Amino acid sequence: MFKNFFSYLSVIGLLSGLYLPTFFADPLSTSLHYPWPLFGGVAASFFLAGSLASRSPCAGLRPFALFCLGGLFTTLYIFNLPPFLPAGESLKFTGLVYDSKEETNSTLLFVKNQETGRKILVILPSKIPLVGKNLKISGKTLAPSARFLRLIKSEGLRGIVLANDWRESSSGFFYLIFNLREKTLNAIGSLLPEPEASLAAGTLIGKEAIISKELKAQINKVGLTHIVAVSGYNFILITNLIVALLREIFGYLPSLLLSLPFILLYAFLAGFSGAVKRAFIFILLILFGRLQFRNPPALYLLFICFIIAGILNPFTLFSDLSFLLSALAALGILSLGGWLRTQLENQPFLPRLIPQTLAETFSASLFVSPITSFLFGQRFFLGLLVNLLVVPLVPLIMLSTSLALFLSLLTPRLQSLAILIAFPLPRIVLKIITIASQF
Amino acid sequence: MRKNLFFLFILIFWLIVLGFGLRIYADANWQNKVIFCDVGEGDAILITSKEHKSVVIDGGPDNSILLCLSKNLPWSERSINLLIISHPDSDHSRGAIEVLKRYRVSKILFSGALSDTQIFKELIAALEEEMREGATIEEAVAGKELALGNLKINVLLPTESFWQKKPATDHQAMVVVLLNLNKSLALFSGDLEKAEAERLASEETLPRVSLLKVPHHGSKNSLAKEFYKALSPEIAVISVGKNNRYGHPHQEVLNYLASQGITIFRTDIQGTISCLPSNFSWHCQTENSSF
Repeated sequence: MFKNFFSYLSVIGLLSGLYLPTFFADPLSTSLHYPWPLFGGVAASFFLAGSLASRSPCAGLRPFALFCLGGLFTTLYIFNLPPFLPAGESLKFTGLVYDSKEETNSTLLFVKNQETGRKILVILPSKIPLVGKNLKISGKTLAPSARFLRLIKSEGLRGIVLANDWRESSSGFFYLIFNLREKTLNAIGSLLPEPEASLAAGTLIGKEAIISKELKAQINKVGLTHIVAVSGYNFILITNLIVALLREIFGYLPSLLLSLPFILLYAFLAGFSGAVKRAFIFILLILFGRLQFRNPPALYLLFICFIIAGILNPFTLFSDLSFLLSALAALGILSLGGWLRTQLENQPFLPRLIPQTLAETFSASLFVSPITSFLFGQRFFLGLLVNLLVVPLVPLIMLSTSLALFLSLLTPRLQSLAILIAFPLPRIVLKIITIASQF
Repeated sequence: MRKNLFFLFILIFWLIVLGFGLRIYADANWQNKVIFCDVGEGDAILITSKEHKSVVIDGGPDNSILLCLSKNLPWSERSINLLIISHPDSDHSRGAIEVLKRYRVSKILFSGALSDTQIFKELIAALEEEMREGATIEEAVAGKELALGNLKINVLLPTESFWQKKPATDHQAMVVVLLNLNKSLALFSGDLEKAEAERLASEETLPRVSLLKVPHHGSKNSLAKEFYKALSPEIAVISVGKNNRYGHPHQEVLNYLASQGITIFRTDIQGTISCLPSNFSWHCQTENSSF
């Protein structure tokens, strides 16, 4: 017990070191305002807790050292960030558009400058899907406004440009994937009306949902925000299906290797959101463990996910809401879910399917509820009840939508049948949301 | 594996049964109706008939029209009989591109006038894609008549052909249509400008209509009093966005309409407006209250 606690303490020390400084960092001026007494106090606490846990004063040095190591890494990361582009300058560059976000009258393009490697936010006064294309952009740099601050942190952006001219220079493999994603979304959109189409597409590959403000508020209130975007849960469902199908054909070991390109393709199709990034790293670690005939504890793997994400960009955890919620839900399921499930399985009056669903939903909801209650006004018990009803339907929605898509692509004559298959489940979920939100 | 396949078949069977039941229920909801969708600053109008026909006039500035179509068409209806594009300004055609992506459109009516704008290029690409899937395009020019059962469309403007020509402004080739739905008349005027409206009124071919879509979101530059006098509408609908930067609708237009005893409906205040034909006139309802 204590050995485990000591190990967890060491990992938490490293994670705290990695993420804590981001609270006191200004990514625009690449400076840190360290509150030394606070950091000293946290470091001393790790030393003390470690010493007490292992009953040896020297053992406390390990969590202490890991905390300092994490802090040192983040400090160096922030100091080494390239300077933010100053406002009011003309800029011409060629870059790859790796993501985009539509606004009312403009599009935000996330572009990687091919020469400097700097990530730049380009504001395009038009709505054109250009993801995956290389663009020659010219425009004027802007001062970073408050509304972009979270994006600057989570995406590691080092400049904002208002484009006045752009030309396509080339498009590559990335564009093919984006095109496939757009075609899939349009195919779902041509099968189903809104908002059912958004719900079905959201669970399958994630998209910016076309939903009314009222419905958005209802979804937030009942705690189902995760079903209109690809969450870690959806990602793991799909990857499990890929591995299971390949195992049927090729056997255990080859299926693990062969599944990797498919999982990577799906991660791209799902838009590589924060939740998908977390789930992707997690799945990779599991597959790597299985290739070595090991089954490492899932909680450790989750901690390793946090560490890898922190090394890639320490700002991720507290600026990418999708990553944070997905990580907290996974933490809840892996830490509390297993114990709760065992307790519920001992209750003879509960049907067989209930313990796992109830345990996972309760533990995930419990861990994310402080944030969702604060940000979306979600009610914990209402959210718990609605999630219990809706979460078991998510794999069925994914299945029926995939089947309907397959049928409609097979021949347009089957489209009416495909519509009948794809429509009922999203409609049931929307009805549940509408009814539950009245309480 | 066999057990899973059995479960899958059972699931599909019940989904089809459920879907079929929901479809029968939804198909009973076709009505003779004109719906002015609340899409913000822009125009998006849906016309449906009891004979299961649907017409869309413009698509608004974004994809909000999709919510309006989903709400007002039976859910299993994935086709539109006729799409009319009044002109290629983005507040009218951006949503039309979304409609073309999502619905099978049988016929598209537009002036064919050329434009240099980016949105026009996107619109043409979407039209070409739809044509590959079997849609036909017809030139909108005065005198053209289209009939979809009891739903009849007459093109009043443009009076000359702009097919593959570049007009001085996009508004010059504005498509204005007259709807006859079960003998109730309505006029859809897009962003018709004052000079064109006055010219149309002077030709004395304008019929009296009971429902008018006010030109250009209630802009004072489109206020042609002769035009209103010739039409003498009972109801005027202004499709306009809340707190828009153009100040639409202008007070001058509102005052004039009120002085003529015309009942005004506004999408920025009343949300989506639905008008049903009734005894050669129209009965309009709004999202918030009914008239």
